[in-house]
Amino acid sequence: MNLRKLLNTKLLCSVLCLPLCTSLLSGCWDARELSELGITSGSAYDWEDNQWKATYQIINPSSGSSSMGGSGGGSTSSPPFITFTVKGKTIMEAIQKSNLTSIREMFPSHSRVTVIGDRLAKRGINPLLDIFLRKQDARETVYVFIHSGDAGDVLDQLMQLTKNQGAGIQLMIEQESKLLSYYPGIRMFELAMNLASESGCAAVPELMLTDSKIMDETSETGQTNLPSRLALGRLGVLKGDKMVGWLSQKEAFGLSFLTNTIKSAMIPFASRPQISEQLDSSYMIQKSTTIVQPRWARDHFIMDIHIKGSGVIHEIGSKVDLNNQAALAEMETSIENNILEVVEQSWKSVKKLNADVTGFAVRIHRSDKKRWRSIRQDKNWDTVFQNIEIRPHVHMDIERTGLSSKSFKSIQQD
Amino acid sequence: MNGKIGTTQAAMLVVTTVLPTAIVILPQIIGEYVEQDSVIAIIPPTLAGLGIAFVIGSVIRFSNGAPFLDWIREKSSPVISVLLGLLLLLFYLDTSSTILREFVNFVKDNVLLKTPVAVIATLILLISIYMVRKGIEVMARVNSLVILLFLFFVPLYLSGLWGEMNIHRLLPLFDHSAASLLLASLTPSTWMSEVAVLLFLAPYLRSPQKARLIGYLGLLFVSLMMLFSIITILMVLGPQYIKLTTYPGFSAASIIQIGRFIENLDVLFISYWVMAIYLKFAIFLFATVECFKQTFRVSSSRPFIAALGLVIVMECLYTWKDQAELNLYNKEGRFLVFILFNAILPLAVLLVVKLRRSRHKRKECET
Repeated sequence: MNLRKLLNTKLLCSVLCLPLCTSLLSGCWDARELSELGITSGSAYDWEDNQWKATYQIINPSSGSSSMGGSGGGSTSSPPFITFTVKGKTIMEAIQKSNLTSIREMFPSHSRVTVIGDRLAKRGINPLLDIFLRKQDARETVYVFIHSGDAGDVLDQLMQLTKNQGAGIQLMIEQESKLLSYYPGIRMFELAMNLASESGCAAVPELMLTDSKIMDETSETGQTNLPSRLALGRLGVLKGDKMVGWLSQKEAFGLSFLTNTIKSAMIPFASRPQISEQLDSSYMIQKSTTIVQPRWARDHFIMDIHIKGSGVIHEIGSKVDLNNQAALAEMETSIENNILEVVEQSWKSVKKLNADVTGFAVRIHRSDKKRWRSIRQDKNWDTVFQNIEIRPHVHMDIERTGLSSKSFKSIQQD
Repeated sequence: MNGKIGTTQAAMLVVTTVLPTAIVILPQIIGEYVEQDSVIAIIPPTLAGLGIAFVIGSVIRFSNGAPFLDWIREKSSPVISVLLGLLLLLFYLDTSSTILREFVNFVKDNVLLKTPVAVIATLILLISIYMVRKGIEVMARVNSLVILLFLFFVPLYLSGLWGEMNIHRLLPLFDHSAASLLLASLTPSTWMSEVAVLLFLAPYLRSPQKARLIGYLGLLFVSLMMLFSIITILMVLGPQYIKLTTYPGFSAASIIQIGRFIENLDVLFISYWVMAIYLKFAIFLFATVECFKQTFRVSSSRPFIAALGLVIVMECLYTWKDQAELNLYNKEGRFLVFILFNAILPLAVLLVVKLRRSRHKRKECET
């Protein structure tokens, strides 16, 4: 009798517990099916008609394989991604409006790039930064670019060699900063960090189209030499949250030396500067370090900039014996002078823009906190910045000369 | 069900009592006051925490691991014991509800955006009740496993962020006034004072005489982890960015990128954190139940766990509905309440007991 009663109680308990199990399914509220998601690979923001204009690039799952060269399932005539543009008084309103045109809910967690139109950059990008830091599924590691013109156009452009344009642009900027070092790519959180720092300035690369034509049809990528391609251009300078101007690629290169962001770079130089000033040789920097030491000199700061590096000769265009120490020393001086010129030119342009993209404010704060405190109290950083004098000291070593110890030209004359 | 726990297990429980919420909430609070000096701001709270651990350990040594309120009853009177018990019960109910709310807020902000708060809170509570019913020994064993997972997560975090770190972001040191440093140290001190939970774990300690050591070991590990967390966050994100994000530790983890295929690792770190916070909440629920048991002299607390849980979930849902209010409490109100219950109260008990003992000894000498 007792056993039956116990069994009945257990059965009753189990039946009563069953509905409780449903509480374990709390994730259901947030469940999202993959087939209902629009995976965003890139976004572009602009300011038009007094409102936000946002363009989103959604990966098209019915397109072929991820590589243009490869084969795969899906339709090859179908574009690898689709874009759509929405407008709204706020960014979120624009994003929500995307649901009026798209059958898939946007999923930005895999986004790779964000392009900002220059109109918006000149107006101020604070709301954009805020949304990237606030929104749970926004990705702070997207690479940021500025486009001179309608930012959405860039996202329409198809790329050769890769179907995922967002990932392609990411690869482009990563390769550029690794091999060329004209400028490093800047991710959204780095942009926020730089703008929130003592200098309050940041530099954002330009993403441009080499021609006015937009290659947005899959059939157009069948050509070997596209008339219009995506390319990295100048360097946009932001002060506060507004764009104040551009630096050319050469000026941006000088800035890379000033900010210690050189990973690898090619320096053209005159191999025999006493005979000819013509840039006939190339030196590849393989290692470079910049140490900036601020020093107060009565009424202004002097920045001692020590640039030290080493590298390899990649190209020689004159008759020079590479086993001769004096000749090598002469070439080193020539390389150093070229770097000095680039750095000084860059500094002049930065000063002209009156935007501390060099991060000198941060360095002064770190080395002379008392004076920085008084600068901050007097709110006169702009004046202090204008009075800064830079003293660059460059030292480059030629570590190796490649596989040949003589130039081809010298052999021909022998 | 409630077996005895060893010294190392107890020290690990102290770690889980303090660390999970501290590591998420404190970097932003400290950073707001002293930016890159946050590293220094960890030292005074550690010293304060060690002081509190000394007091708590001494009380446990005096009572020789007897239930705290029973011991008070024995040493003073039942009225004082009940009054103290009621106050402590109120404190633990309140603390448990804030922990639950912090947990719910985090999950709601980061993972389950559309799931109703009540469902998340109830679910967490049900799981924690199950853990408490299994007893402190089981909790201690699970906790040891969770802490051992540090051996996987710390190297992953470090190696993933190595390329993003810049040591110069820790400079300049001593840039802020002593007053700012003191202000920044107040909130972490409240977290360190949570070591007082040992008072209610004391009856289950295999060696109550080592209570001080348990406190010291636990808090030193917490301080080391806090230092590690703050230093890495500062080196990756810099002093200004910390002020912008609510959870800087997870913001740093979200940057980790291994090759081109392992990204968005913050979810992995969040899942680990969730394991730890479950244990933290369970430890506080256990302490609340123990406090209830000792105050009302109940022989078995099992039937009351769910009822106490219900009170906690109600307070979590209604008292701490507003996140701004909870943030303000964490920043300003928490210090007073925690120091009062976790430091001043045990210190007063210790002083009274010591005074009585010396009087008693003097009387014995006189006779």
